[in-house]
Amino acid sequence: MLNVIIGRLAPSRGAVVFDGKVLTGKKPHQINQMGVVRVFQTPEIFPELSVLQNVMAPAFAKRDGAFRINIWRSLESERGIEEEANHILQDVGLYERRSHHAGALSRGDKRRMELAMCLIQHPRLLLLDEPTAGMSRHDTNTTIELLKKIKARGMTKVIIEHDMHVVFSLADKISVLAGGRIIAEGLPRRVRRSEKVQEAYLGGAHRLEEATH
Amino acid sequence: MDLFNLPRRDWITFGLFALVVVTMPIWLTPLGASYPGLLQKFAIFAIFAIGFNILFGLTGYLSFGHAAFLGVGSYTAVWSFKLLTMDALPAIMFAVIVSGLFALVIGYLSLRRTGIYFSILTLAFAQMCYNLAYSVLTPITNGETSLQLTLQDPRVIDSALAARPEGLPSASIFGHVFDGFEGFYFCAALLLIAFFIALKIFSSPFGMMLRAIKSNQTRMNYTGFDTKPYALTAFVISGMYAGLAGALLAVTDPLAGAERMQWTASGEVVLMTILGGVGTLIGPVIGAWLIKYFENIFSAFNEQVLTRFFSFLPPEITEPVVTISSKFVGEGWHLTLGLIFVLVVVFLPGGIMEGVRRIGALFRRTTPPSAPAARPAAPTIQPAE
Amino acid sequence: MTLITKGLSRRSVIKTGLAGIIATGVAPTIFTRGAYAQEFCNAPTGDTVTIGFNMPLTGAYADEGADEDRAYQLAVEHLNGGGDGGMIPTFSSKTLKGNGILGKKVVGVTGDDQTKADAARDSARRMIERDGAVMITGGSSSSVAIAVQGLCQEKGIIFMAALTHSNDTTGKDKRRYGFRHFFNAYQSGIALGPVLGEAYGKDRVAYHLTADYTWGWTQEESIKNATEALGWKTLAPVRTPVGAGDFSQYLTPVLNSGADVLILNHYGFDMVNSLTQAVQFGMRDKQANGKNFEIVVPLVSDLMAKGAGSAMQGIYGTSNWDWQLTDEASKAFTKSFGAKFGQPPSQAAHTSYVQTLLYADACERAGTFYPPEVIKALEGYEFDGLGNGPTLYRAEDHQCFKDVLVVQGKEKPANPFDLLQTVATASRESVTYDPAIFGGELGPDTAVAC
Repeated sequence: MLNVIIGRLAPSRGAVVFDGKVLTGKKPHQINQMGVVRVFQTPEIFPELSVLQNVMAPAFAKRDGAFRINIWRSLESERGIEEEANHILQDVGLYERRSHHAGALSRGDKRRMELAMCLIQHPRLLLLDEPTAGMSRHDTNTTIELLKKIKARGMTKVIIEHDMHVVFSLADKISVLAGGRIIAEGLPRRVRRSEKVQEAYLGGAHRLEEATH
Repeated sequence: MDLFNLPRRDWITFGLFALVVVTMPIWLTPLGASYPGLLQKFAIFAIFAIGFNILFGLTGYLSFGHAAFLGVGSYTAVWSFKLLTMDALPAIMFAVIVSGLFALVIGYLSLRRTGIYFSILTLAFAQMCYNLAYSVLTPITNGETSLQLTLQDPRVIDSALAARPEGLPSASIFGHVFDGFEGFYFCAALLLIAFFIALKIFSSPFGMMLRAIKSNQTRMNYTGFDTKPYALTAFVISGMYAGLAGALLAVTDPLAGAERMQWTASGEVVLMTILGGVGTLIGPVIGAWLIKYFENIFSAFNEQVLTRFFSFLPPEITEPVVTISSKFVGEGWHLTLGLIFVLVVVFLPGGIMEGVRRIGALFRRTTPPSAPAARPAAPTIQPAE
Repeated sequence: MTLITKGLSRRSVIKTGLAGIIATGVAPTIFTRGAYAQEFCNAPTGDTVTIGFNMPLTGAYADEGADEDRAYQLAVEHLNGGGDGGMIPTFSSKTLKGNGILGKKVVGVTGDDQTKADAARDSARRMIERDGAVMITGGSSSSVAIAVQGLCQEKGIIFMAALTHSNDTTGKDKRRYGFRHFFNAYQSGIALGPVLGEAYGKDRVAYHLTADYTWGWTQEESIKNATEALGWKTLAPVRTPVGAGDFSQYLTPVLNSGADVLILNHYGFDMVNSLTQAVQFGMRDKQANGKNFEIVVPLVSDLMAKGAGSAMQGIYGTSNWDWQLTDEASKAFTKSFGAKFGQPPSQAAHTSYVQTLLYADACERAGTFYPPEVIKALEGYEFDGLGNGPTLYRAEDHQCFKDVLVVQGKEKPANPFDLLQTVATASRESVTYDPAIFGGELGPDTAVAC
């Protein structure tokens, strides 16, 4: 679903509409420029750049648009953007490692950095694809705390997550998909009580899928 | 002023580089390379390599057809000499513009593909240009025979300003004709300008975007960047650098031949860049100097020179030593260069600059490895995804 | 680094000393070059004189380049009084005494021109600017000769062209500082025409395969004019790149084109390849238009005949010189070349050797190395005893006029070097033409400081 929103895949039918504008058929960078930003399941970062530069790059996209030949000022003299990046790196706990090669970070750190890359763009819609997958319990909790903090700033997020602990700590509204259909939708406590969800989540998913065929 | 806005570190780099370039006639003397003809080539091919590196080193797009822009620059400059004036500045201006336009068209088409397909497209376009210059466009390029000045050239601006001199004129700047070393300093001045612009690009957000394209083009798209114009801009800039180098070849020696555009010439600049260090500022310059040095000096060694060199050895050893080593000099200079290239790529994949860094690191073991971010080592050479 | 330091020339050592002065900030480099008080570029100041030999050691003409290299070694040896003197005793001018040139020992520096204009000029500039060569000679491609000749004009250095056969070298691209001893394509046409007419008749259709540069173009034109004067027809010529290696794609259409003669305007390895491949295609056994299919190679040399082997047998062409000539000069040269290198000299070696001697002699006669005087000594110079009979260096275009040999590949070579036989000689008068037909301008002879 996220791939469809950000323009990586075309929907088989229907259209994606965000804020009254059709996203379907737009190029990925155009969708991003409209304020829809995504964190990938496997971290998509710039391994050869430093952590700081990884976080600064999206800020330029936000400030300068999709393309601008910006060679008059050096990177070092872009103080505003650097400060903002430093600030967000402090938020995600990577400030001390800001001059490291991004490629050398651990997987969890890479994901946190990717989150920072998305946050610096102040997206209107943030898409998170299993932000804690493969993380240790401790890292997961740090990430949850981080996401809660962001939530407090008021930003629409869509999170895809199998880990119910994460989902129920963060979500205001939950949609449960199984076999390509929404089987439950609504406030967390209602979804938690849904039989279909419990069945799907307890391993009955394929049975349900068979039924829908 | 924003134009001269550079970090301190880059100013130091620039200062040292300028010092090295300006003193070339002195420190190259003991190496037997301090004569205007070669010094000019050093400066010119350094410009070519720096420009190539802006594309290959930053964006990772490996162009195998950059010599086409060099050739276009040369032809344009010679035609400017033939038709308008012997002044170098218009020739250089036209050459840079025309090769930039060529780069715009070829780049626009080639950048529709990435990786090896991009390389092959550029190679194909360059071969097309070469063949056009070699046979189809003979009236414009004079084919294999090379385009030269003739006494019958119109040179409308010059003729309007002054009486035609006897014999063939030489390139000049505001009426001042270069002699050998002045020609070198003229090229060196342009090399410094070219290097300064490269420094600006490397240290600018734009340069970082290009590096990010090399690192992860998909991420760039999802981060909200339109990567195509970025890559195309880099392509055009590096094409203009090649055009400038081509124009300077014509300014220092008013002749343009099709062989300048051959694929071997395109391959040479790739070698220069890889040998020196892809993505580093100084590396391609060192690579260019090394290759030109080998081509011009090593190729001129013959057995007499070697015999003189090995004369300190006992006579019975001298002869086999001379025989063996003579295979590596003179016509064998390609062999030596090939060996060095293999050794560098195998043991120093980051090129000579990686060697310099490693030696530097030995001297300051105590300090932690410096931030790799500003000048990435580019440990692997891979076309952009 | 020691390797390089040891290889320093005397001049570089002087320059190193100068560099020391420069380094102290006394004088910027550009002002030091007048220090020799030279009135012209590279005036020999010590007891030696440096000559630059610029020849293809790699590329399609490398065989010719190697033979030129040998000839230059021999010429330097003879000029300095070594060996048996070769053609010096037979040369009609008796100024050369075996004590170098004007009493200065001759030193040669060499460079690889790679048969490329750029590389040739690079190499020539190195010899002029670094090694201090007062004269450049060599080359075995007309495009290289024209490129280097232009450079030498600019630098005020005399260029004694070796192997270059294009009409342009002393035609539209002629230069005051360039001199050519070798004959040209136009003369080949004049010499070859009557022989071809006699051997193959007046009613023929010719197919040209032409090396795609100045030499090929002018040879094609000259042969076309000469054969069309006989009554032959010419099909549209096909141009081939230099160093193509495989000519089969160009040869395939020939047999179905209606032509009955194939004219190969190729040289060096290109000619060896195209001729061998044409013969392998069975062209010489075919019939076309009711006549035997024939191949003509307008410019041949021993080296190419050797490379082509049996394919060369019976093929007509022209040559500047052949080692089997029986005059005293040719015999003397062949003898001393054979003694040193164990093989007879090619025409490339001959012309290179002769050009070096002619330059030395002109300096002796002028009494100076000052180029304008040397040029005057060469212009309009009439000489003999260098293997081609009486020869004139024409003042108007710096082209030598002498007899041209029409040769044929021998059917039964007596030895590995006995490959060509002279079947006719076109007299010097018959191959003399009006210099105006090719246009061009020599330009000034003003000396240039460097």
